[in-house]
Amino acid sequence: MSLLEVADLRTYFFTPDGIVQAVDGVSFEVGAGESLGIVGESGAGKSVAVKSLMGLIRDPGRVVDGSIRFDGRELTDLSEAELRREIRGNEISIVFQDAMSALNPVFTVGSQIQEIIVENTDLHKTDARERAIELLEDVGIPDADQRIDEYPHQYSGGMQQRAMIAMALACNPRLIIADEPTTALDVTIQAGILELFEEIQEKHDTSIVYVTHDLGVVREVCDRVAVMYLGKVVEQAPYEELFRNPKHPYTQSLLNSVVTPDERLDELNPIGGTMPSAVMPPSGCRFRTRCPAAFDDCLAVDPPRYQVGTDHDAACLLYDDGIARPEPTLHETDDGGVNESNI
Amino acid sequence: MSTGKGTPTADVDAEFDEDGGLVRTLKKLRHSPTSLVGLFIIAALVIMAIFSAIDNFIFDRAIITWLHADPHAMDQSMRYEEPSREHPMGTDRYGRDVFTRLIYGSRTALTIGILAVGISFVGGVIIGSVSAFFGGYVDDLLMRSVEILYAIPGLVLAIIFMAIFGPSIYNLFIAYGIVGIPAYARVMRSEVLSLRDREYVEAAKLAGLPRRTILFREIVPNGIAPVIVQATLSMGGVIIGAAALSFLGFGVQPPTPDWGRMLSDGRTAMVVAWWVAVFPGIMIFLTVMGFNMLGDGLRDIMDPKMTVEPTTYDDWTLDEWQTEQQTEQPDDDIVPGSTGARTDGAGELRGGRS
Amino acid sequence: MGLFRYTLRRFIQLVPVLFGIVTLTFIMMHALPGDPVRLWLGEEPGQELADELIAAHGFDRPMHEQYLDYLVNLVQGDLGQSFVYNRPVTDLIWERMEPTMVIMGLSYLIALPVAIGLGIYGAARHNRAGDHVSRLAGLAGISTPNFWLALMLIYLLAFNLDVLPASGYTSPFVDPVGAAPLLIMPVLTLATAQTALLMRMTRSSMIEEMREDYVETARAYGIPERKIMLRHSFRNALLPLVTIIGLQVSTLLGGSVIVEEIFAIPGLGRLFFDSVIDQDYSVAVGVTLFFSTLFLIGVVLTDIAYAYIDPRIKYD
Ligand code: SF4
Repeated sequence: MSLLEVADLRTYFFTPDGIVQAVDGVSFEVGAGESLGIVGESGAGKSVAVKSLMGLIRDPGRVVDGSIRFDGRELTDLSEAELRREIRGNEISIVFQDAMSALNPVFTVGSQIQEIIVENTDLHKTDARERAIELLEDVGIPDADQRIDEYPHQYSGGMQQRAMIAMALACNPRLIIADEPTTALDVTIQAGILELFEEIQEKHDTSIVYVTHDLGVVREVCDRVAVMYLGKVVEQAPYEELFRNPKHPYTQSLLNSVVTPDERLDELNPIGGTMPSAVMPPSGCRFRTRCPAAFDDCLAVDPPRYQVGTDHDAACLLYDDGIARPEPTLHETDDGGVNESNI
Repeated sequence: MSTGKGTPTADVDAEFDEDGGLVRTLKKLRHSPTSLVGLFIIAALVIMAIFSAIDNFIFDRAIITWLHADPHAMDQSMRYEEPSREHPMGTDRYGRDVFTRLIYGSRTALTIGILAVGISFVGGVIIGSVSAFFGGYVDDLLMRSVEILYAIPGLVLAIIFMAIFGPSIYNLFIAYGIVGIPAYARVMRSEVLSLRDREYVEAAKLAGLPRRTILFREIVPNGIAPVIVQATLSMGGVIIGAAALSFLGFGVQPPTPDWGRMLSDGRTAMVVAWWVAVFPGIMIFLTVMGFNMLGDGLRDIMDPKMTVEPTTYDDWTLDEWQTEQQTEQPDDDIVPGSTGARTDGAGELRGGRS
Repeated sequence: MGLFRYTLRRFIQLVPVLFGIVTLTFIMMHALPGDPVRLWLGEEPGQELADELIAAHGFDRPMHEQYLDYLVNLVQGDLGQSFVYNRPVTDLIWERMEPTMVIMGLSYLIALPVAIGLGIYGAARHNRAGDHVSRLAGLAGISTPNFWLALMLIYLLAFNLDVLPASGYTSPFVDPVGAAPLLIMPVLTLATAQTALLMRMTRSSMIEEMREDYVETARAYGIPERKIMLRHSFRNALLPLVTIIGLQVSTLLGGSVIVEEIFAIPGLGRLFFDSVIDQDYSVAVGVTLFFSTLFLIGVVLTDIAYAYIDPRIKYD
C-alpha cells in the first residue's frame, strides 16, 4: 500500500468572478521513500493540489470532493484540530518556494524551528533548541550554534531555503512537499538544495513530492512524474518511461520544446496559446484548445485515464480503442519524438 | 484584481485606464453597503446645502420661511423654547429656530470642507508630484517643509493662522487647506515614485515631451486615485476641525449659521436647553460619518490587500499579486526615518481630528 | 551601542526640521497683529516709556538681528516674556506641563489596549458580523467631534446624573483620590477618537499580516491559529501601529487645547488658548514651538521602538 493515495481530489475556489476549478479530479500515489514530481505550467493547479493535502486551503477555497488517504487514514475526514496536531509538521511538512517570505522576519530562525518542535513534540524549550541546532547542522548551515540566533534576513537565499528544510525535518515527517523549492534560487545554489533533498530521502526514507515547472528538477530527483494541465493530471509514469515514451499530446509538446533541461516551461511557453481559465474550462478534453492532435470527440468527451504501458497512464482519447480516431502518429513518426539525448 | 492601476496589463494601456479604473471602482461601490449609506448621507447634505444657498442668495430666505421658519429671525419672547411641533428642535438664545439653522449650517460646513480639501488637494498634488518627479534637492527641500508643517498640531496651526489673519469663513478654509497639505503631498509623492519608471513614462520621455507635460499629463492622472480616497477620508477631519475652531470662537462669525458656532452657544445653556447643543453635534457627526463611510469603502476597493479576494486562490494570481506589491512601494526601505513611512497611515492621521 | 548611535543620529536629523519650525514661529511672532508693547502698557503711558521698552526688547532693530537674537535665546532656553503673566514663557510651560501630560498619558493607556484588542478581534472575524460591528463603531469613533462628546458627557454625567464634577483639575500626584473623578471625562474625550483610530489601524494591518506567507508556513507546521495571530502576525502588525502611535502625539496635543478649554484644566492647551485670546503672543508661539518639539521627540522615540521591534532595521 502506498503511503499517500489521492483519489479524485477536487478543490474549488468560490470567487465573485465564478467558481475556479483549480483542482478537478486529481489522483496520484506516492509510495514510502518514493519521490513524485508534479509538473505543469503555472496555473495548472499543482500548488493548490498539494496544499489541499494538508488542509491548507483557505476561504474562499474548499476541497469539495475526493479522498486523501495517508498511511491508511482518510485526511478529509479529520477535523482542523486533528490535522493540526497529528498531521501538519509531524507527518507531512512543506517547503515553500520563497523562503524569505515564508519565514517570519521578526523572529530568529532558531526560535521558529524551536516553536515548531515544541508545538508538535514533547520536547521542552531547551531540548528543542538543541534539536534545532542539530537540524541546522544537518542541512548544512555552518556555525549552526551561532547562526541559530540570527534573523532570516541575515541568511543568504540558499541558507534560508536550507533553514526551511530544517524546519520541514524538525519532527521527522514521513512526507515532505517541496513546492517549487528551487525556483527562487540561483542556478548554482539549486543543485545543492536538490542534493540535500536526495540525501534526506535516502537517510530517513522520507517520501517527497516536488511541485515544479522545472523539468531539470524532475530529471534530477524524481522517481515518478505526474503531469498536470488545468486542474487535471493528464499523464503519469515513472520518470524514465515518461521522458522516453510520452503519450499525452501535452507531455509530448512539453518535452519537444525543451531545448536544455534548465529552461523552464513558463518562460518558454512551449505550446503556444494560453491556458484557458479554470473558471470556464473547455468542454470535453481540457487541452483541446491547444492540442495539435485534437479531433471531434475531444469536444464532448472528458478523457478518462487510459493504461498505456506498465505503470503508465494518459488521459487522452487517442488511446481509447472504442473511439474512431485518426492515427495517433503525430509525434512518434515526426522526428523520433524525444530521445534521450534531448533531455 | 481590478484596482485599475496595479495589474500587469495596466502599463500598456494606462491612458485608457485612468477613467476606466475610476468608473470601475465606483461601480464596485455597489457591493459596499457602508459606502452606499455614506454616499446617501452626503447626497442629502449636498441637497440641503444647495437649497440653502439658492434660498439665501436668490430668495432671501423666503422659501424656508414659507416652509418652516426664518433661520435668522430673532424673537426674544421665544428664547430657549423646548422642541415642539412648531420648533422640532427647539429655539436658541435669541429665539431662532434650531432646525432651520441646522439646515442652513450644512452650507457652511460643506463649503468649508470642499474648499479646504480642494486647497489641500491641489497643493498636495503639486508638491508631492514635483517632489517625487524631480527628486534630489527639490525633493529634500519640499519634503522638509512639509515635515515642518506636519510637526505643528493642526488645530494649533489653524488657530495661529486665524489669529494672524482674523476670524472669517475664508480664512477658516484657507487655514485648514494649508494644514491638510502634508498628508496629500505624501500620498501623491509615493504614488509618483512608483509610477515614475513605468514604460509609458519612458516612452513619453523618448518622444521628447517636456517634463512638466509628462508629469502632469502622464503620471499624475494615473496616481490620483489614492489621493481621492485621501480627500474623502480627510473631509470628515476638516469638517470637525473647522467646527472646533468655530466652537472655540475663532471661526465662522455670527450671524452665519454654523454648527460649531451653534454648539458653542449651546454650551453655556446646556443645563436649561440641551437641544441647542445636541442637534448641531449630531449633524456634524452624521456629516463626518458619511464622508468616512464613503472613504472607507473607497479605500477598501482600491486596496487589493483589503478585498475579499484571497492571495492564494491560485498560483498565477498569486504571482501577479506579488509583483504588484513590489512595484507599488518602491521606496519602502523599512528604515523608519521619515514620518511618512506609511502613506495610508498618514491618511488616517489627518482623517482624525487635529 | 548601536541603538545609542542610532538614537543620536535620529536626533541630529531633526535639527533642520526644528530649525524650520523655529523660523516659522519667528515669522508667526511678527505676523501676529497687535503691538505687544502697547498691549502690555495699556493705552495710558506716554510714548517715552513705550520707546524705552521697544528699545529694551530690541523691537526696533533690523529683522535679521532680531532673528539671530531669537535663535540665541532659544538655544539658552529663553522663549521670551509673557506680557500677561509678566513671567518667562519657559517657566509657564514647565508649570502647565503636568496636566497635559497626565491626560495624554492616560488616554494612551486606555486607548492602546482597547484598540489593540478590538482591532485583533475585528481581524480575526474579518468580514463577519463581529468585524462589521467593530468597524462601524470605529468609524463612529473617528466621526464624533471631541468637543461635542465632551459636552454630552458633561450634560449626562455631571448635570443629569450628577456623578462626576463638570470641570476642574487636581494633580493625581498630590491627591490621587480627588483627581480621579475629575480626570474621567477629559481622558474619555481624548481617548475615544484615539481608540477608534488605533483600532482601525490594528485591524487593517493585522488583516494584511494574516495574508503573509509566513502565516501559511506556521499553519502548515501545526501552529494553532490563535498563536499565529497573537504571536506571529501581531508582532509584525505592531510596526505600522507604532508609527501611528508616535504621529498621534500631534493630534492629542491639538485635542488637549479643546479638552482643557472645556474642562477648565490648567494645562498647555489651555495656556495656548488663553494666550491667543489675550494676544499674549510670545506665550502662544512658545507653546506652539514646544508642541512641535514634543511631536518630533515622539517621532524619534517611535523610530527607536520600531528599530527595536524590527530586526531588519540596522541601527548604524
Ligand atoms: S483527448 Fe483529444 S484534445 Fe485531449 S489531448 Fe487527447 S487528442 Fe488532444
